[in-house]
Amino acid sequence: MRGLPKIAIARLKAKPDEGKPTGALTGPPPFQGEAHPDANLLTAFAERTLTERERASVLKHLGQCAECREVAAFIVPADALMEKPAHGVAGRRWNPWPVLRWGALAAVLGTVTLVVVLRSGRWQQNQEISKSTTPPNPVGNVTMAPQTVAPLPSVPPPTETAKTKTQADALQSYSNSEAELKKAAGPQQDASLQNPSGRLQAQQHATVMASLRPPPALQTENGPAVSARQEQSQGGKALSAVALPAPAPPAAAPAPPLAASDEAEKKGTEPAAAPQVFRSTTQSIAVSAEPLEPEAAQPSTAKTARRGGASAAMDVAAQTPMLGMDASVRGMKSKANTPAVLWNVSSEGKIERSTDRGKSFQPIAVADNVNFQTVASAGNDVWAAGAGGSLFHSVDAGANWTRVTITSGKTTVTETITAILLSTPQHVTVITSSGSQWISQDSGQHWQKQP
Amino acid sequence: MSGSQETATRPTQFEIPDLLAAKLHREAGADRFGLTTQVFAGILQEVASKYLPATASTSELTDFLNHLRLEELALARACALGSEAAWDIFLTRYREKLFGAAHTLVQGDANARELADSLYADLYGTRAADGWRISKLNSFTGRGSLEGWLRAVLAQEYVNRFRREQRLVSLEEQTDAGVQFEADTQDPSQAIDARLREVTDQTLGALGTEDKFILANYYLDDRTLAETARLVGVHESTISRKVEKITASVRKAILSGLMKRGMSRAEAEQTMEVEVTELAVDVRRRLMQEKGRPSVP
Repeated sequence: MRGLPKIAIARLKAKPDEGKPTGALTGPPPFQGEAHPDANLLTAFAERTLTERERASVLKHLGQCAECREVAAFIVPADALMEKPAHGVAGRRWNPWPVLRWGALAAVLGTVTLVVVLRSGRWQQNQEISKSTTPPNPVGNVTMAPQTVAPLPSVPPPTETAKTKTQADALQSYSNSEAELKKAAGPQQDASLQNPSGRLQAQQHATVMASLRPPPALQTENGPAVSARQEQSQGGKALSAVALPAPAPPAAAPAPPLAASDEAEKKGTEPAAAPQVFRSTTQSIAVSAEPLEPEAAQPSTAKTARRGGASAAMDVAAQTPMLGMDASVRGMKSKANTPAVLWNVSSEGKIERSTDRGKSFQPIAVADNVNFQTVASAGNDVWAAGAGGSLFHSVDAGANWTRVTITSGKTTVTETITAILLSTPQHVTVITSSGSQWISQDSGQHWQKQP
Repeated sequence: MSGSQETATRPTQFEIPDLLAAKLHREAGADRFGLTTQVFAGILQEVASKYLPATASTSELTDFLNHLRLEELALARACALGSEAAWDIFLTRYREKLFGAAHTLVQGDANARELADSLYADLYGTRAADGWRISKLNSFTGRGSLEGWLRAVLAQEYVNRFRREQRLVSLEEQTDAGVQFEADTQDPSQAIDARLREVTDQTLGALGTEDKFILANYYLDDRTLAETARLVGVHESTISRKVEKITASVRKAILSGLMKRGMSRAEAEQTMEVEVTELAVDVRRRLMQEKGRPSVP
């Protein structure tokens, strides 16, 4: 607020002197004179017991008489005063009320708008999901459930700094990989998201993963990676893989190989960090739904697996940024949206299937002497992969399996396949333990290695 | 009761009905201080005559009397009439409060006590006129609280004492204070553009009495918004908006007036913001400075 012009203040101050009786040395005549309201009127004015007419008369005088204003201000006891602001022109002159008033109003309006928008979005999502409670095919969920990683030479445990750095590297690499995958997939991948059925799948997957979300403590433990990945996914990532619950206790998980693998990556023994992220994702899927037990009971395996579980959960939730969060709530409240058929890799490296929403899993015969690492599904299409470049494909929900060899020119994949990503049933991406990525756009007929 | 005869026989314009007088006398508890109904009715007539117009109706009179601080009025007038019982009550109620109020005006217990005691002397009535003591309490009319009235009288006494002391300052003291170097106390705004002064006076003259009072409190007396709000009787946020609104309207009116007198907008804004040296004597500031000094005996 701009203050009163100085000329106005000067003239306001000059006014009382104009009516000053002649002969007075300083100021108006003594208070006993008729020029001033008596103490009764000043008291009544200060205590607001004057009539309107009297009040107007006293006000007129007070506007011109500084001494009577002083007296009037003195009449009300000091304890009736509000707290005085600190002396100083700037502090005294600043008037916070308008700012506070409008600020509070803006805050309230903003909150209301936010609530309305969020509620509206949730309502629409609820409508969509309620329409899809009976999916056309109960096995129609895109599934990715690799569990363990290939054993690697044991190395000393990394320091916390190295661990953090490795996580950051892995995230960066993962981000790059995702961008490349998306670029390679082209409009088809985007179409899968824009397609209503694709969205529906994503919603269902998010719902599944929401029910598998680890407790807040674990999310906090894995905070940086989760948040970073969430940001990536909000940028348009289109993962169709969904983690599935694994009934196997974490004690059965092969902890030493996992630890060794992580440590090897942290030491830079692997060319790219991206696989670590995927592997971490797949690890989490196998154990994320299991009851979380005290860490002391499951030292390294449980910890690593849970951490991965949080990442995987966020991965899937991040496919649909708003939906993921919303679905988590719905998933917690109801299991009605959990797919009936779930796929898993057991701790022994075998493929398992659950037809009762994860309550129990039955082993599925895919191939002997293959240590499977990961499994993914999209509708009736199921992909399983593991050590030695083993990759199997089933188009009838696991009834029959076909071995698929990943070749491109003279190159054949013989490394352990640690992750499978299904954007669509036809679009398959596999990632090996060395970090190389292979993409097929025709359900595994032809493969192309990503640079 | 030396003054009761004078009070009772004072001519009044209003006749207080007996029933009303008895009721008000009972409500005031005037019996405790030795005031009869007749004496108290005479006091009420005097107060009503002072404030009510001659044409006031009976209902207006009744309403006015009912809003008086009857008990405190009876106490004050009984003290003025020399009632020992009333003085006992008065001293019990107000002695410490009066001393506390004096303490906020001057520094030091001795100075505060002296100021309060000087007021007590006036309240008791030391001056004799035609053989009667004239007590300051006789001028209390019950329009406000007796405590508020005492504070007002105390503040007025303090200002009057300040004036008296200013008149008694010796030439040497004035020289020491640098009075001979003081600038001319004429309004400094006299030296500026006549159009600006004219427009400003018109604008200020067009303001309402309350608006002027608010501006004076805020800009001249440097009172806070809370203090100003308390004086006006509104909430602090309300007075904040009022100050803002009045200030904006004054600026706008001055600007508009200057433009009507042939100035461009830029010229008018520049003229309006002219520096006006504050050479006028600031009584309040000098009063505040005086607080730091010991009072003159």
